[in-house]
Amino acid sequence: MKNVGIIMRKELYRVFSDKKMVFGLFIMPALVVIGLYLLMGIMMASIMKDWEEHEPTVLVYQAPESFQEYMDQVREDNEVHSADTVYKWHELPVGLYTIGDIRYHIIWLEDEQEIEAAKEDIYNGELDLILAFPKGFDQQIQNYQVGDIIPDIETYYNPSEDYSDNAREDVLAFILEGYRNQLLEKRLGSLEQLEIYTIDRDNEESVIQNDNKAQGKLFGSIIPYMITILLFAGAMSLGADSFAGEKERGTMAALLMTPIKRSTIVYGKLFALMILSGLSALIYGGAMIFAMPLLYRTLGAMTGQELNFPPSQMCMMLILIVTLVFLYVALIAVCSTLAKNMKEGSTFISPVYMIVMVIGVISMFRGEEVTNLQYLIPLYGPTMALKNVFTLDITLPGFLLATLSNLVIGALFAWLTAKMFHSEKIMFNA
Amino acid sequence: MIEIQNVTKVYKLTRKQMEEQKTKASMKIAVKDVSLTAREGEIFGILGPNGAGKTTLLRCVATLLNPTQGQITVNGFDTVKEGEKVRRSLAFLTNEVKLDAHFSPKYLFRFFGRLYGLPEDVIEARRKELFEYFDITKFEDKRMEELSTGMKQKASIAVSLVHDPDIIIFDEPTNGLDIITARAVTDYLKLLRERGKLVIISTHIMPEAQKLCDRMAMIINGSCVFQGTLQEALEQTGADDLEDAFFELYRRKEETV
Repeated sequence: MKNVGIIMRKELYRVFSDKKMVFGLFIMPALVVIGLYLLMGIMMASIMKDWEEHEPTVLVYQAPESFQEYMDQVREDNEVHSADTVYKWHELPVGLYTIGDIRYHIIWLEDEQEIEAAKEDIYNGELDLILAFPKGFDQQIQNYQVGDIIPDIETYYNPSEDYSDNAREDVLAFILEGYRNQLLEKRLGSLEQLEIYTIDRDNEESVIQNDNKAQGKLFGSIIPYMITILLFAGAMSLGADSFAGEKERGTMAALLMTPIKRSTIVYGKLFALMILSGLSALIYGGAMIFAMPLLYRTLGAMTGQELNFPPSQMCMMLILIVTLVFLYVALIAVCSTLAKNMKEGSTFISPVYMIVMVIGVISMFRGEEVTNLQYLIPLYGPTMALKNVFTLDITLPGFLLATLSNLVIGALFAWLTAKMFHSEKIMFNA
Repeated sequence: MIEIQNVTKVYKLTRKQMEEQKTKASMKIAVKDVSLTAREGEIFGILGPNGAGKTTLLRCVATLLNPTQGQITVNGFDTVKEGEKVRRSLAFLTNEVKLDAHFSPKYLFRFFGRLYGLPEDVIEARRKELFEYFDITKFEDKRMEELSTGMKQKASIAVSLVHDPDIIIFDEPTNGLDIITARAVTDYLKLLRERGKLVIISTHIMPEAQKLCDRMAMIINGSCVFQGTLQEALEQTGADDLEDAFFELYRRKEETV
């Protein structure tokens, strides 16, 4: 055991005494994550601000009197700007109507010939929305009998333009919906007749849920994926260097010439790799947890600091992560011991990385339905267990079986690596 | 003492290796039925051209390879069954065994000393002695990658001798070294012999072997064609020096093939 410690300390010292390695392995990923999230937050906030500040231009074709009245009424209700024309569109005046928080530029069009030019402008992104009323809309509404064709208002917009897309959404929700209600009220006398019943009007305790589980569901979908990927990625290059790299440089032979057991060398290297990859994932994850609120804060949404797990959940997560790291590094050790050099080592590890990634992606979409026996499936079971720890769907037997799977398969690969260390063909290409 | 008894080492060739060596044979006999004995207090030379099987034989002695047939004992320990005990009593220096370029000679000396289970004070005393002898002290904290070839070689020798082994195996000891460093190395080998150690060197440089070796074995195409002293080699071949004696033995071997 003492010699395992000596080998492990040497491996750790090799990394920590190399400034470039420390920077590349621990500092740079953290900086990249924080920088990226910060940038994303700033960019998204700026886009949203731009959307909010944009004043949509809406052309209303063959507007019925009732709609024009409604618009004036809404505008007056809000005590906003006058309908002064500030500029013209194709010789037509443009009126400013502030409804809610949005100031609309409204063009009233009657001439059918101009409609094509308006559609052209929608296509080019110069107009945001066309609302086309059918001829005699008001009359159709007034004379409506059950069974008649319901009058249809057509909209023309450009979904590839954010302004146009948003304008349609806003006009439908804040103008046309109100207009419809007004017409309904006129027809029926009161809207209450239509409502029939309400849902949860005074019930403030409607939501009954385990808050931890709810937030676990949110994080459970993404974090196990991130953790598994980060753990593996952290160990990947270091593992290739520690086994295949040492063989390539001839420094492995120097270790093999010492009187210690070959398995001791393997375990020393494995433990060092476990520490390094765990640390790398911890820093990466820490940077994400630190950076996520930066992103959310700029967007005015929830913060990532709301993670609050019960101690038992924390323990399970820790045990699963530690044993999963053991399995990963043992797998990496087998691949890179088989390789003659670093390049070959990376090539051998890549397919395993792909498998880990695919399992990570699967874990994002599956979870609760995992049976106890499925927890035993190498790599898959423990990744699922990690997810279900977050969502509180883990069972004790499931957790134990996933841990057992990690330990048994990890130990098997570690033993295989030690066996391979005895092979002349593998170690010396003899 | 090292006893090599009827050792044969056969390599299985991969298809790629067969193509590289332009052979259809899937086996290559690197060492063929070699028997040798080397004792304490002597410098024993394994002589032969490149590819003769010298390094393979020494790797078998150093436990890095297992003989296909035959047996090797080092200080009475079997190299296959008691590898750890064998490694404790010998040092093996070869171009293929290198020290990590990232570390300093001082760090590596301590690291290997600990792996041999030596107490810290013994490691420190050995380091002082060896570093002073090889003049390493002034660059002991520099990384190996910053050192010149000669310095690296000296540091490698010092580190490999940390456990004061009874047997020192040196594959091509002066290969690639400048004349001054080469002399420092050969002088140290002589010093080790004076201290009663067994030094085994492999070389294809005959003048060096002539000056250095008490006894020698000549390996040609994996077989041992001669074993004895310089005098015996000269008498057996009627040559004036070791180089001529070697060529005579080489010619005789070729004739028998």
